[in-house]
Amino acid sequence: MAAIPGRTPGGMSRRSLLRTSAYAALVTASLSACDVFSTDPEKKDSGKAAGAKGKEAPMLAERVKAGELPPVEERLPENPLVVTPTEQIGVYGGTWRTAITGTGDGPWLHRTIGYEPLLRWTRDWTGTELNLAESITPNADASEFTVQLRKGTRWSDGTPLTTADVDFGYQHVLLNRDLTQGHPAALALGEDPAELEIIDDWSFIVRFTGPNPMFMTNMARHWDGDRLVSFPRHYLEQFHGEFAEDAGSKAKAAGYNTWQEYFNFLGNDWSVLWTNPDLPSLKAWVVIDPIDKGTVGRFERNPYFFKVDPDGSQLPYLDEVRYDIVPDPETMLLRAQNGDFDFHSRHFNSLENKPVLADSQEQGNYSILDYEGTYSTEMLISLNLNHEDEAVREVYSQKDFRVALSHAINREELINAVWQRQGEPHQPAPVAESEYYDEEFAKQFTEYDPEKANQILDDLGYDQRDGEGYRLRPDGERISVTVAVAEDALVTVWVQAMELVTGHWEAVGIKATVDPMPRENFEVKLGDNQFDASVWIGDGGRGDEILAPLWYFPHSLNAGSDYARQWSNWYRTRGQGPEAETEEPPEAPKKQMELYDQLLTEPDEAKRDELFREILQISKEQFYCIGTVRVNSTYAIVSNNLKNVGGPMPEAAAYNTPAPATPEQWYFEG
Amino acid sequence: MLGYLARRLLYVIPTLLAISVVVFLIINLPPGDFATSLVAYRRQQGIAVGPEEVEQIRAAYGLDEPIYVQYWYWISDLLFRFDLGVSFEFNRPVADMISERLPATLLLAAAALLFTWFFAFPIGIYAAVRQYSIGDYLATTIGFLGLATPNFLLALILMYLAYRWFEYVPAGICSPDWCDASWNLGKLLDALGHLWLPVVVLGTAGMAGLIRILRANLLDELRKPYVVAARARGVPERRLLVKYPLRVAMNPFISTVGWVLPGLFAGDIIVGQLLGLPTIGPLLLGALRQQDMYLAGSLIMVISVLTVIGTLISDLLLAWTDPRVRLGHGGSS
Repeated sequence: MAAIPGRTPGGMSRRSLLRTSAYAALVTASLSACDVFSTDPEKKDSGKAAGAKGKEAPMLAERVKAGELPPVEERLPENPLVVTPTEQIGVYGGTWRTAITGTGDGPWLHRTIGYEPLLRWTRDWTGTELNLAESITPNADASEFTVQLRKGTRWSDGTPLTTADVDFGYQHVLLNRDLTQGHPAALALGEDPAELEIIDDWSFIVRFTGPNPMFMTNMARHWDGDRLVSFPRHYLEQFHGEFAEDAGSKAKAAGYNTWQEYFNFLGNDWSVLWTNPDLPSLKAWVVIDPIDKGTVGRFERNPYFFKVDPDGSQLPYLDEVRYDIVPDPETMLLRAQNGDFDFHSRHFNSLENKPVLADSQEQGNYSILDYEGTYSTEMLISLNLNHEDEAVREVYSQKDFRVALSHAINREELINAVWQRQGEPHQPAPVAESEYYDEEFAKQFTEYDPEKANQILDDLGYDQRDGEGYRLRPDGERISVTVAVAEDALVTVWVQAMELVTGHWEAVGIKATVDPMPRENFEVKLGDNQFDASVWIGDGGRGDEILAPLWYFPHSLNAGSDYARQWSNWYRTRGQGPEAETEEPPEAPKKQMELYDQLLTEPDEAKRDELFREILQISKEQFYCIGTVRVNSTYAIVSNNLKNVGGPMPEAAAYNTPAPATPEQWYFEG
Repeated sequence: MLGYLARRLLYVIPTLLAISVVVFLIINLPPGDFATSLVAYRRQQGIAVGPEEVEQIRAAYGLDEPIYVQYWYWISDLLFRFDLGVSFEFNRPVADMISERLPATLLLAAAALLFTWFFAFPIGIYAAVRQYSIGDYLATTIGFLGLATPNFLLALILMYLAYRWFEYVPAGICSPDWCDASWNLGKLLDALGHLWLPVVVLGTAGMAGLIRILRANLLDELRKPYVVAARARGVPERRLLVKYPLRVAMNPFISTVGWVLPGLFAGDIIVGQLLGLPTIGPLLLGALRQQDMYLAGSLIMVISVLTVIGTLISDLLLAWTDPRVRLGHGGSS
């Protein structure tokens, strides 16, 4: 800092030292906040004020005082949604620090701050509750739904949300095939798009061509349930060709060829909420620093958010959410250990990292929160029942062959060697917490019994072996299975686990090889039907049994059930698809498809249940695919200061973990 | 000299065209395209994508056209309008994305380069002049360790040590508290607390090679009779070393100095990815993985142009510093 004039060498006297310090203190004080020599981060005061918290966050109260915002009563809907805190009523302030690997990691944003559909899942995932909708009323046969929005709900820029936005979004964005490719499945019955009728400013009817009882459930699903209320008309119509004559020239000026491209970039894309700060939103936090620029994405509280706590104080409690961009999972792990994240459960939360994270809990001031696994099995093996080679297909298609392979797997070894001595043998079947649990289905053919496997294979007529001891088909060709594994997909231990399984299969005389590949290649290989077998995770174990039935019968979810992509395509296209990609399924799966179609239009819940049980019964008999081990494999790390997160919660893409734990009522203590 | 320059410049055109073809082909070589990687990605998130939608994505991005048509779209925009195209994944003009990341990239690469030169030259000269001394062995050992340790490993190790001993992880370019703060001394210190890591990692990688080359060349020169003669005439050691042998020993360095240019632009791919730096390297890596054709292709084209220009600069520099190269052009040998 300042040099002391007239000092001679030989040290500083006590008096001059005092003088220097006083001078330094003076300088520091006088420069105050804009001091370039300050070594404190100069940030907005988050106002973690103790005492009465008031009806709104201090940072918003200030803006009201400055005349930038209307008072909080005018910003809330007439009938705001009252959120009951998980543990206790919180206080305002603080920043939730978390991370993403890059713009491709959008799902973590959707899971943390992007979940505001018309309805929402209850925390225990047993049902739905109201969210943006004040009510949704079905008619008698569940073909018509009257939706009532919360009167006075506002977008983050203060403009009221009305049915004009819903109408614009549906008629001019979702039904515009240049803007939206493929109609949202939740807003159609089969091939027929729903009809939208506007009643008044806050209510509308969604009408289907027939009964569609799944509509209510779909409106709680992330992305499906948000679609009707994600297009702020007053902002977006300036870029829409049907409303703004200069939409084309605006797009050109911004470097796009057509207004459609520019429109989608601004308001109709998977990631607009994180990349376009001008887009009005209904979420608890809105973007102030987009994630596609720089190394951090920042989100600030939405002053018009429509939820309050039981005291009538506007939520969210937390001022800000920030996502550091950390492309490498190892680096993310290290930062998690260091306590750089307040809540995070992605990329590094694997079983093998758990001891490492447990070890640093103290240094990082966090705790581990276990998730409840919803997958029926961590590694599900599909033999390709639609194999291109007729002879191979004949082998794989025999149920007993699959049963033999299942008995040949030593699941205890997998548990010990791969899954850190956790988990239990499990087939792709509803799990114990599910209302559809059937122990026999879950456990059938899981006992390790190579003798039995050998016996079955012998009985199938594969008792001849070649010089290397591998079993032969009756036509003299060796039976072999090459398992395609996406090495960088959901579960990182698949390759390791599959190496063991192929060993078990070789022990009963089946030539087996693991073929690890990047997941893009995996997708191409399966899409082209160029594979013997593949590995994925067992969806539909709990909570999403009906929504994700692809391992119970050939269903078109994702790209189709891996064990029978062609049957799935047949189901999706109702047999109308191109011959090369579809194949008519045999009686059993066909029957299941009919039952499922019935289920989708059955208004009575008890009857739907019954139909689904019937479908499960057939899958149990058919045994389409082989399960291995069920493990509660994931967990979150939670800062010890972050409150109201609550105990364990389900982990599933469909549940959108941890959104149903309502982050808007999380808060920091102390 | 001017004729030589003109000829060299002419060669640049077919070279770059050939590079553009190869680049485009190689990016398209892996099975699948951007649409498949999008589907794979969505499937991983549990989002259904129907084949019709895939077809529409393909049509929208022109991926259903034959490859030469796609190539023509790309290269004609590039040549006639200087338009680098729009990234599929980010839906943003590639030029914008590059310019956003350029300052940090250049700053970091330049710092790493200076770090390399600052240490490599003195060490290389010392190792040659004091051959087989303890210092020489030490420099050689450290140099080889630096050469043999992959960058990402070195970065991970240093990060872990920082976490263990200093209780912070020097990833990124700032710590959370400071990223949104305005610039002051604290932020500068914080930035230095983060930047030392990539600078050291990137710097050490290039150091070993430079030390070895300089040492070997200088050793050759030092044994030559003109050095002995000069020494016999009593030329002071320091002047003797710097005036002639060092200049000659610098030749291999000068002939590759132009390659620094592309290195500045995208030399930190793995380290940048690991540390989450807002530089161009990680952008290129992501684009290649996603088969984001225009982003990857345009980035590689920029790198190629810089390489070609860099080589030209090196050649000219060499001609300028070494009379033998200039005279050689006169036709003596």
